[in-house]
Amino acid sequence: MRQKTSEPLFKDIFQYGSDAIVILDDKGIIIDANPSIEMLTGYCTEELIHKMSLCDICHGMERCADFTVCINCFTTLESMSSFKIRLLHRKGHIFSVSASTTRLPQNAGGFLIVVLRDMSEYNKQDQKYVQKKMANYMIQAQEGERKRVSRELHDGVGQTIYSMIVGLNIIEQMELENDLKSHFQLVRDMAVQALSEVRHISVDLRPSSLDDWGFVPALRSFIKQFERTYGIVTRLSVVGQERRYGASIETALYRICQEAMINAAKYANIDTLEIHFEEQDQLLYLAVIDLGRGFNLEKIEVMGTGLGLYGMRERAKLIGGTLKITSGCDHGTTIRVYVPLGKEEEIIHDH
Amino acid sequence: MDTLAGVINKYLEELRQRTDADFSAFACQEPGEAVIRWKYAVGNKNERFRRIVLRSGKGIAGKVLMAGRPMILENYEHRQHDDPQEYPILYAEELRSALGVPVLIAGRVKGVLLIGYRNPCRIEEVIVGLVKQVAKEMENIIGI
Repeated sequence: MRQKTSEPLFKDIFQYGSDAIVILDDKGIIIDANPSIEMLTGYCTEELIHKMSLCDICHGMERCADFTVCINCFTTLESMSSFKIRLLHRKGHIFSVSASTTRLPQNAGGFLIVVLRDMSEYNKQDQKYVQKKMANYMIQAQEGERKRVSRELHDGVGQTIYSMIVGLNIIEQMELENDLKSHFQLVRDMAVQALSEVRHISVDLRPSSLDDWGFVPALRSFIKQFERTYGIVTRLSVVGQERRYGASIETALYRICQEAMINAAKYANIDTLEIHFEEQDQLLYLAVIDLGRGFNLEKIEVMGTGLGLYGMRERAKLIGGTLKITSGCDHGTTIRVYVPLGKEEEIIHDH
Repeated sequence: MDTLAGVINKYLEELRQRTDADFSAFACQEPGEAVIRWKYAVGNKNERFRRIVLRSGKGIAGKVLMAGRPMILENYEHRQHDDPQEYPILYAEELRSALGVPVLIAGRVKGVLLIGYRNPCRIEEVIVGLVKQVAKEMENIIGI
């Protein structure tokens, strides 16, 4: 026979337990509650006991996808384990707590014991974790898709148009009436135009030079395009010997740099932009420096979708790096990325 | 100065004042080139416009050139999901409303006349008419 635990111990458990425990009578009136309820709901036990019913602060229950209010209310049911109810805090906001109920047998009064547990901290952590996983997944998926479409455009459509141009060139060499000839010329010019469009779109999506030649050469050609697109003179300084890094590192650096440059072009109101890249003691350092308008880091007015900065951070984190932004009104903005090289470099090779 | 540049700049400045615009510019396709550049501008904040090279069909100039019709952008919000590459001149000059009108050279659309406002404003029919008229006048000069 198990030794009977003393009654004072039960009282202590009730008194000091971190879960809020509420005891309801058959009408739902709170006939007892432990002090933890105050932490949870803001109401102290004196305000609750014999004065309020749980219904006064209950805003319905959630079970998986279900959400019900008062239909099949748990206070009318037998014991239930693990569900969520929404409670109204004394300060007026509604929040979710996990709950379980135990119906005491009739000979013990038939009371309903409701145990409430605050899950908000856990939920927050959980949400963050899921969000991070999703963000990473989306970055990977987007990159993969871009790569595929880019290749297909370049090697498929691009090649076909190229063959068409060759064919049209051959026709032009033939002896034809003049107006027919000029027609063919026009068509050839259009095909040349289409080929250049297709190549541009392909490079825009994801330059094959990133896979074939690496980060710095790919960045160089992006800078060329960037200058022509936005009219911003861009200077790139590379310290140390150029070499290849893991595919995911190169992709992340390229995308971060691209995003930072486009942000500068959009918001900084600048004529020139500086980019610095170096490798030192197993650490990669990339900086995009503008001397433009700058912004207040404390309260970033979201001018775009607001996803740009978030995306850059996520990309940096994904390769084990860190991203630092310094900016001040009229002092310009500097985006710095530090990526330690090491074991990760060999592990992440998924592009 | 009676050079072509001087004359065009004079036209642009006059147009800018008459339309109460912040910025006015002229873009054209160089002979034998597939790209379009902003050749002249007044009221510019910086020199970015000179370096912008538009592929055909890109940017306001490219679109006007391709369609041969005026194009109006009103209250252009940078937060829109539009590709910033679409309208680089709006970013370079921080314009919120703009109007582009085709300029014909020898019967073919070869140039684009643009006015831009840094405040988001509506571009009235009168303004469109005015810019079209100036575009016609410029056709005669550049055509020679």
